Amino acid sequence: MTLAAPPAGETTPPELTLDDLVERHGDAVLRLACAMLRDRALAEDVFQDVFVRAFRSAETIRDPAAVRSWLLTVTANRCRDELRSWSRRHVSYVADVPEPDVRQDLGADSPDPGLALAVLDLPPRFREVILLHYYFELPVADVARVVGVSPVTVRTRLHRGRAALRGALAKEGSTDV
Amino acid sequence: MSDLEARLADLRREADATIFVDVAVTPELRERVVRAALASADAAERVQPVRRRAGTRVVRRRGAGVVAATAGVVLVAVLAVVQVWPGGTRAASAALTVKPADARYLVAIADPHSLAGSTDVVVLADGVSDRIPVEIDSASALTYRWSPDGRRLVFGNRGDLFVFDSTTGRTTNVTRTPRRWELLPSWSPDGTMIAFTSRPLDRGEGPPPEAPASLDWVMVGAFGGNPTVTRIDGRGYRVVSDETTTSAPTWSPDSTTLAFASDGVVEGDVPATASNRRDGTISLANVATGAVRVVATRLGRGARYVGAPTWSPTGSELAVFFSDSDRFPSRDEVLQGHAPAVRQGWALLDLDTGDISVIHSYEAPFVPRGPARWSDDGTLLALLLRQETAIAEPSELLVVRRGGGPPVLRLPGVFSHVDWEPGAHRLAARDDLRPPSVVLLGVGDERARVEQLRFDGEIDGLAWRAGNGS
Repeated sequence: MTLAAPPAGETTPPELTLDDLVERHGDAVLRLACAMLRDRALAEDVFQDVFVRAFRSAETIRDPAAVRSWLLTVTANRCRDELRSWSRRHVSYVADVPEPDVRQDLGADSPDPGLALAVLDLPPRFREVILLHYYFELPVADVARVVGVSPVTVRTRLHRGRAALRGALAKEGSTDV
Repeated sequence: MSDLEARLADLRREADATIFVDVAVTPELRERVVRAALASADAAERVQPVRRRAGTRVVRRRGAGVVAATAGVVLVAVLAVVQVWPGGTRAASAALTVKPADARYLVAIADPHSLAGSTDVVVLADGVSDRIPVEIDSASALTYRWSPDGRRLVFGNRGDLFVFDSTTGRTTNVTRTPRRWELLPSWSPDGTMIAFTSRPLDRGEGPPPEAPASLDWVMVGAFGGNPTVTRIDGRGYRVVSDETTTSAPTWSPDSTTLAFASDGVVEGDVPATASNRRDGTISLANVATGAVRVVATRLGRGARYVGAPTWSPTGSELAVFFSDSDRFPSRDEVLQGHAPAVRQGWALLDLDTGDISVIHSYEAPFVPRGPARWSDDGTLLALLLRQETAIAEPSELLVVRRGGGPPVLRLPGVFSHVDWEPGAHRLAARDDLRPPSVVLLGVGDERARVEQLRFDGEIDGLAWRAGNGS
């Protein structure tokens, strides 16, 4: 499935297909969504939505160099929406709905997932920047663009996120932090 | 480099070997995406043409990213980036110069600290912006509403509701219920009371036991609860009904009665969500006496679900969302594209005669929608269709006339926080496809104007402010 037809009169860029996009960036999108939402099924819903949006927004993402950043930005925004969406909030406040257990969805049987699981347990806004900076290896300026805040705010969150990680790891006694 | 820094530098390898070891795109997921993309393209084709007579065209402005169409006439969609806020929202606040062309008092709430950080409340008016000195440090505050005279702002924070008085500069906690969460506030038209929903805190909500300050105060449970009222000084907190509802109670224009749809809970397949406990009825609660009258909507033809009522400015009608079925499609049905389509939409209920008139309907898998928004003069209603599940369905903002007929305006996209400008035919909505931005839709008789305002930081909500706000 062709993602974007080159506009008339412009230099023809390499044809980008939806399959290409999923192949190149699918795992990154799915992992960010899993980490943000801590729920595999929800993450797959977001994954689908992100790539459908990419398909429908082909005009705005013709620059291959910007595709990854665009996808991560939409994924992060979509996850934030999901965390506070109207439909999600319609879950029962009468029934006792168990919180999703991150260990059931991610790394349940992994040997000593210590730091990675500690990252997943961070509050969402810290988790987001820690993952984008350290896992996706984005510079602070790019993290700022993805999250939609200033670089100063990103550095503050990174600092506070690291502090929270130290506390969590020290509490578990997993390592000298 | 500390040990933690060294480990973080190696986070990719560690995470790939542990938490992400089984997280990869499967062939099934890839196929699902392709199927959804194709369905999305089909849906877009279905919603774009709005034709009353031959010759009406749909305007698509390449690059502008906005498609607008109207019945009988072509809307000219103008997408204008008015101003980009400079980076660093907090520091830049004094220098903001956003000024939509004839802007009045749009209030945007930008949340540069994301999910659980502090929120800045910013007033945009006539070329200047002021930051309102209020503290909002929890996520999911969700609703902001100015009083009818534009003097006070009600907003949620840490599970309570607060009223900011722009005259005195003081903010008052008007609920003070440590174990309950108040949501979805709305002002009585006479400005003396606030109605909202109230429910017990859910598990995981509330102050974390060891938390410094405000971290982690986030919503876990549902919208809604019991319809409740309080006076604006915080006295007279009273649960009006033991029934529960998931949308904001709506005031009658004479400030005496609240209308709400009584909701229960559907168990079973996704999404777990609310549905009416009584089929097709709306509850009217007298605020003074607490007496509740249940009104059958006579929607007929088996319509089972009625929700999200909003009172017309004239007081004689309620706009309601209805559906012929209240059965949510199962997850398998959604993912395999077999979710049954049922008739649903918005209708007007005449409170004097009980008559019903459908103002917009469509067929799709059942998803309850939010309330129709009346323009101040009661002639137009804004309807919001958002993709609420994995179902590939039309997502658009519609404006319809009270008297029915084809939509006056139809704007495909993903929007939220829709609000009419007081006394005018202009809508503001958060544009969730181009975050963080707000679209302003001026709805004329034959033309509509679409402007887009971009912000730095997240937009947590927005609300028009009536009058001059002083």
